[in-house]
Amino acid sequence: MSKNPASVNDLNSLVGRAYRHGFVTDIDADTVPPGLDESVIRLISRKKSEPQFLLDWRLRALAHWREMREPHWAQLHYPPIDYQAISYYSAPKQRTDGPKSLAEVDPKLLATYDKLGVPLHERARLAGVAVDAVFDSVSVATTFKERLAAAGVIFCPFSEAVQQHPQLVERYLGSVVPYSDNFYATLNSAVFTDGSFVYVPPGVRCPMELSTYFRINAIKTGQFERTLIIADEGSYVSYLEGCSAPQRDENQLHAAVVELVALDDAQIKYSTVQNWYPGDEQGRGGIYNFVTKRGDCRGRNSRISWTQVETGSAITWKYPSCLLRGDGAIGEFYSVATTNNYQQADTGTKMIHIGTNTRSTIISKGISAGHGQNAYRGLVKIMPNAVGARNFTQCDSLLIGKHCGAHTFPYIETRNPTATVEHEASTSRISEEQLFYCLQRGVSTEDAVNMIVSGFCRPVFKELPMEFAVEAQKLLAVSLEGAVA
Amino acid sequence: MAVRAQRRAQTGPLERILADFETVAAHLPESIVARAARRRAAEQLRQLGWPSHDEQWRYFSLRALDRLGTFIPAGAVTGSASAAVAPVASQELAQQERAQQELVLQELALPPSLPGFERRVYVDGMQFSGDAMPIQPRALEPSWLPEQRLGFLGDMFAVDAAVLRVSGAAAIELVFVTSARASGTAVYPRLRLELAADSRVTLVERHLGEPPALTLVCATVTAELARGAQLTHYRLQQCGRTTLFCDTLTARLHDEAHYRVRQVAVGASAGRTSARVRLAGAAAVASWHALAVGRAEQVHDCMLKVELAAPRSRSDEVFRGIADERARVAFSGHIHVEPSAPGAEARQSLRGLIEGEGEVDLRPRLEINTDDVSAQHGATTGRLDDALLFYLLSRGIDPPTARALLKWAFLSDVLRHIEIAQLRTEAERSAAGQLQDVLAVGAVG
Repeated sequence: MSKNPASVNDLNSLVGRAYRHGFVTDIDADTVPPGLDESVIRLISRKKSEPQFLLDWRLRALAHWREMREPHWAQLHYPPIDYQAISYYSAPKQRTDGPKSLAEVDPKLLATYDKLGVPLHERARLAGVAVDAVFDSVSVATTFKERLAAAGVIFCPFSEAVQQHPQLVERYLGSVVPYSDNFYATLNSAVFTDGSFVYVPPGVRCPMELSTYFRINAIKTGQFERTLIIADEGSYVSYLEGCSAPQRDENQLHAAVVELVALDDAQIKYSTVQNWYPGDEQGRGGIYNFVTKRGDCRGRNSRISWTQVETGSAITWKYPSCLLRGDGAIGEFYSVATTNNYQQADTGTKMIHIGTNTRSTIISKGISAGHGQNAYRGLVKIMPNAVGARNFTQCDSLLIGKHCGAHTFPYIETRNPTATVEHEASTSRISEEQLFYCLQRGVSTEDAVNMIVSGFCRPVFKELPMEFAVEAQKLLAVSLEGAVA
Repeated sequence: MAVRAQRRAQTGPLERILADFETVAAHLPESIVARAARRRAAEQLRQLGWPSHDEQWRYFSLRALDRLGTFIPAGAVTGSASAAVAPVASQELAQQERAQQELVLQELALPPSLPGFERRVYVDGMQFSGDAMPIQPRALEPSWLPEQRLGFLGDMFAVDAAVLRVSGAAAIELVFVTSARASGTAVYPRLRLELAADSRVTLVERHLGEPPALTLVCATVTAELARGAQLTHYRLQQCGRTTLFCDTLTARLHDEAHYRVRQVAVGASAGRTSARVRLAGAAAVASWHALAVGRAEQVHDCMLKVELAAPRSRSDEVFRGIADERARVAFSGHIHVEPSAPGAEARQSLRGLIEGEGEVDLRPRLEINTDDVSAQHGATTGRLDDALLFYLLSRGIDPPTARALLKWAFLSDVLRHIEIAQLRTEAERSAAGQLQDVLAVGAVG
């Protein structure tokens, strides 16, 4: 590539555009001072009027977290995080106890989501999608609740679920990711402020896509949301999350937890387009994204599918996983992770085969550019009783530029002789031949690179809901602009 | 013995290792590893700590070392280490002593010598037969990675070393035997290879012996291949089931050097290979073909890191493992391509076969730090292919024979790369000895 002067000039001209969602909304906020101790936990719990069981759970998590050490096994390098310098609660000030309808939502917030391309007006562009909008520590609006309720689907902010459906929350909270799970999940368990809650009753196919949009706005805060989705027997739900944050020189922490529970014959499709602020060209600023996502295929023939497009964040540490407990359960993981400039990503999945005839598929595409470092880390574990289990893993990396890195750390542990596990991986770059082929047919360098990258990612994009596949493809093109030179 | 058992119960392996070292350090030969170097190794091991919770060691049976009586080398325990080394280093062994050694060698029932190979035998880590090797008080201080930390044990406790400095062509067979005398203790075979430019060496390294009680064999190998040197290194681990075998290897290749390893691991109750090959010169090539067959409750764990650090360097790894009954077979292949290695190529093919309640763990890792690279790996685990089995059954072959033939074909991916016919036959017999059905149908000649 570097030997072709025309390509170099053209590619050099693909200067990256600024992060589009880096603006700040000027809004009065109720923010607690930085620091973490028991009083902060009690304050959060009091603000949310939580039942005693949840406060106790949070306090157990805090006590456990104090005994834990931050993990450093990932292929990530970042300065120490001062957890006492973070504010653990920040919410827009509201004139009333809370908006009862969209009409009561602060217009500045509505304008913010309009600007992000996530309109909260129900007749707007994403009319087929119900949206829960989380702004810093709280949910500010949820659309289409009534229509979903008519189908029996509960879709609401987590804090509302705690009030309205405490039995469901108490039964399932921490049942997939216990408060003691890992350093970041434990921190989240202590301080989480909001998130989304979904319950789909038996036999119901959720009539529309569900979506949550997470926005960090306030300075010196972290975001610690928690999402819990339960698909009861024979139900289906497709859920998508998106996110963004202002452009700042400081790093901000995002430590979320997502728990999915699929009972007999239920199916959950969980898609993520992650666009947190990635930092600037010199690696200043950006979100530290430490997320724990796990799905429990608890029922027979249940199915959980994770699809993620990771383009943002300065640091990404996430491993959406599946516990395949029910016989015949299926777990899927489709991922595109890009790192440009000085971004670092250590992401992958775990597929734990416990039930008989369980199946899993892992398709991971990593794209590294600039000085970006991209690592796939995955575990496929076949337990002794997982008779007839099958796994297929494909893990490809594309390198754009000689200063970036692509790393693959798969673990295959098989303890059943009837299981079949297949893993394949490759690492390569966009070749001169590929570019030359496109250029001589009149395709511009920018379009050629986009086309090649798009083809590389196609197996993942086709798993996304259509509207979001288009968005993800555009996002990928933007995030790689300026990288190829 | 009661005192030893009590001590084991009270302290961890690292504390015991360091205490044993203090007991014997003053008596270990300075000519093999300088005293200061031994102390540095002990300090480095102390700083690294015992890898109880290290994921690089999770597949190995570290707990088995808790049962070891002592880490003090066998010769030092009996007080004969210096006495044994000194006469071997001398060129004027008395005829009578030679005759006695011949007698002992016959009792060891070693496999026949390979035609055309110069054989040297080491018993309990000390040279026993063959031409004496000149040992120079040169510091043998390889730098071990954390995942190779048992290499420090070899630096601390070695009582002898095989040092091969070769220019031109050579064919050498080194046999390391653990005798009954070492039973319940530890032996530290040590091998250093220095290949001059354009030399061509075929080296056979065997590890044998079946002491009556649990014994640690902790081998270290260092190799330096100068420009254009070619080393074909056959490694057969055929220790008895009372042996814990830990083998740590580091090799450095200069321009256009070529290192071929063919490794067969079938013995020991638990075996661990921790190898690092650095391709420091342009167009250097490493080719590592390994097989491990475990049965009963054996553990075979191999960790191989290949560092491609120079332009156009290439590596090729093939692993075939069978875990039968309740055995565990693990292979971690780590390819590390540095920014200084444009045009590098790396391939890995790892396959595991599980029988009974066995376990296979594979970790094909890639770390790529330049875009001008071609790297691929494939890994599979599972049972024998049903379609292939059906193919054989439909042609009238009975099920046991069909299964045996397929297992044999599986292992042949490695065995066929053993180019010395006599050695290949022996390796095949060793592998077949681990697979009762293969042995029963006589799939191997």
